[in-house]
Amino acid sequence: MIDKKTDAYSLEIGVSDEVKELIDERIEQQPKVEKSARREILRVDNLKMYFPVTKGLFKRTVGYVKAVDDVSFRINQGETLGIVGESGSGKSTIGNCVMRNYKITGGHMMFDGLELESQTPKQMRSVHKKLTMVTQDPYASLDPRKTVSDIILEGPTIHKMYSSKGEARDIVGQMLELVGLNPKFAERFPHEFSGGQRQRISIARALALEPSFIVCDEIVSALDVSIQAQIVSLMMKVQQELGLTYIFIGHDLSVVRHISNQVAVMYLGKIMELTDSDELYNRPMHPYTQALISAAPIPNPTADRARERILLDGEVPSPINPPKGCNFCTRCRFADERCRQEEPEMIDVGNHHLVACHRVAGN
Amino acid sequence: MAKSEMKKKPSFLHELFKTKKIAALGLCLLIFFLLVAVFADVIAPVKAVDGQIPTSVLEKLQPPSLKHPFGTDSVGRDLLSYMIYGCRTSVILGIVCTLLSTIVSLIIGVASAVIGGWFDLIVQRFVDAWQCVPGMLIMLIMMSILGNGLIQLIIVISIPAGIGGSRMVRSAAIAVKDSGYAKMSTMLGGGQLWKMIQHVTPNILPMIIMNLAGSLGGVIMMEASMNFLGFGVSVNTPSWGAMLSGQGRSNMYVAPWLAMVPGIAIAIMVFASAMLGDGVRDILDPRLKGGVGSYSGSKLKKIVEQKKQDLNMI
Repeated sequence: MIDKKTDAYSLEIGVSDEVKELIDERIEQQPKVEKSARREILRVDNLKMYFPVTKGLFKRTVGYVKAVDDVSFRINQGETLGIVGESGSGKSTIGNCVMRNYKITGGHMMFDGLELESQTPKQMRSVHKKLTMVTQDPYASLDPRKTVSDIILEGPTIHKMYSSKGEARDIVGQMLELVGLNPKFAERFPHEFSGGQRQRISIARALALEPSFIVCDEIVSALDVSIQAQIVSLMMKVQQELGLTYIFIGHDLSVVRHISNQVAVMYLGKIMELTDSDELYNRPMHPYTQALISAAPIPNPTADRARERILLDGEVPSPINPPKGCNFCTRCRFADERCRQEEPEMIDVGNHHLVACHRVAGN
Repeated sequence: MAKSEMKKKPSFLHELFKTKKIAALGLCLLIFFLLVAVFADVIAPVKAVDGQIPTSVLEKLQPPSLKHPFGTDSVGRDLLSYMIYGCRTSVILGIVCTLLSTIVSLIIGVASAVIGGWFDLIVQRFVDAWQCVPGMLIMLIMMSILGNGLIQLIIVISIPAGIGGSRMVRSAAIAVKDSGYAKMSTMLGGGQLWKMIQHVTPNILPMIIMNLAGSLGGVIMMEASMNFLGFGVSVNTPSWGAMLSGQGRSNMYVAPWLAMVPGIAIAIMVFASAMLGDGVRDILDPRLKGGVGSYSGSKLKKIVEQKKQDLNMI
């Protein structure tokens, strides 16, 4: 296994001394915690997000799309939770629920001692200083009429984090350098940049708030593979330097493994397996995870050809009408009568390895 | 300290005069009309008495001559002086009404789109109901309640126009408020007002400005028809619209200059505002920079040379 620390720095972009000073300053401000005693920063219990399906003139509710159904997880400060799954499995919905973009159907979310679901919109505005998001599409998320400097200063202006134009200029310069862009770009407009550069601007905008938690919603999915590597190592570098916590949503298994401490595998709105990233990839327990990992290519043709390939039949069932019992039972090669009748519970098989599968529980 | 080098943006006027010559011409024409309106008492060859041009029955319906460059009307008023004084009413009314109606529709439309939900529903049904009643009827009712006068006329013309225009603003604003960057502003801690002012309004501004420029002519004609119905500023106060729709129309075959002069004046003003609006929109929207015709021939060569020099310097 590659050591993450060295790997993150191997793709490092040059950072000037000023920025290093700034980073040191901010690291000092962060409470120093040993890895073993890391503080829990986000705790999500039994999160449910059902979208009503309406019909007819009077918008009668005829059913619900269970986008996220009974999901629980915890994230410690300075760590990353990766969420993987097929499209429509509810990955992004979790991110949006945490950001309070939706009114959640049920469950509890505790962020840094605050109960997120009971915050008023006004209170949420100050919470968003610490808890922010970087979105998938770098083309839509930057206001075309604002310069890069306006975009980066949006958060600091909302929260009145600077008092003079000089300070504002410093923030912009530092942020641009931190994400590896030339500070000369400050007065340019977003349409003058490429996708990767725009995503960096997007990241700089989030970092300018000095947040402690960032939800990264498929931030590399819209980018080229070479740019993906740059952005991921940028995110890891910034995380180590500023002690940030991430939820990293993606569908590329190797990218998510690279950045995450923990990985949650989602299928049809439920977490199927949740464990440390290395444990998950080395010892996948859930049949769905096994299928996913077997589908991911290995950069070694001989090994790639030799390994067992698990093919899944059929389509993902509709989330409006999920199968009875285990959500995965329609496509699982081990499914038996019990799987079709009874919903599996999340069980800890040891080593912080949580799996929702009857077969694993039975062993 | 690391500093981002912020080069000073070229000033708006500088850019307008340098890159949008026709728009600059429009601006000059509007300023010219404004100056004429302000200094009417100084410029006019025949001075007004109590806001009215003196009549002389002996000189009625005279064609343009040295004494009366634009001729005279059916009661012997000097048309040039009449136009100069009429500029006051028309320019003030035109500019103030278009601005006011735009502001009204901007506030209603943007608030309705961004706040959404029940607020949007109620406001939009009110706008629908308002649209069902003929505009002229509402104006006449409002006018008869408020009475004659310039300020009343401004209110009566601009508020109905603003309410009507708010639907267009709303539909444009809805598209912007659902965009990635507007949603992102909420996730950075911005409130509704921040979203409205910082993201939605600037992004629909090009459309608003085009619309604003187009409605100027309509306002001047609206004033003319109100005048025609006897609800104008005041029956004898000079105004372009009144001359065009009143005397100009009835004496069209005998004295065509009575219709032509105010007609051309209105046309120039509408043209000027439309061109200015077009240019301002191009400058305000950075994506339209360097569009068709902006860089061609010698200009393009010059830019390429400049870029090459810049590269050599680095």
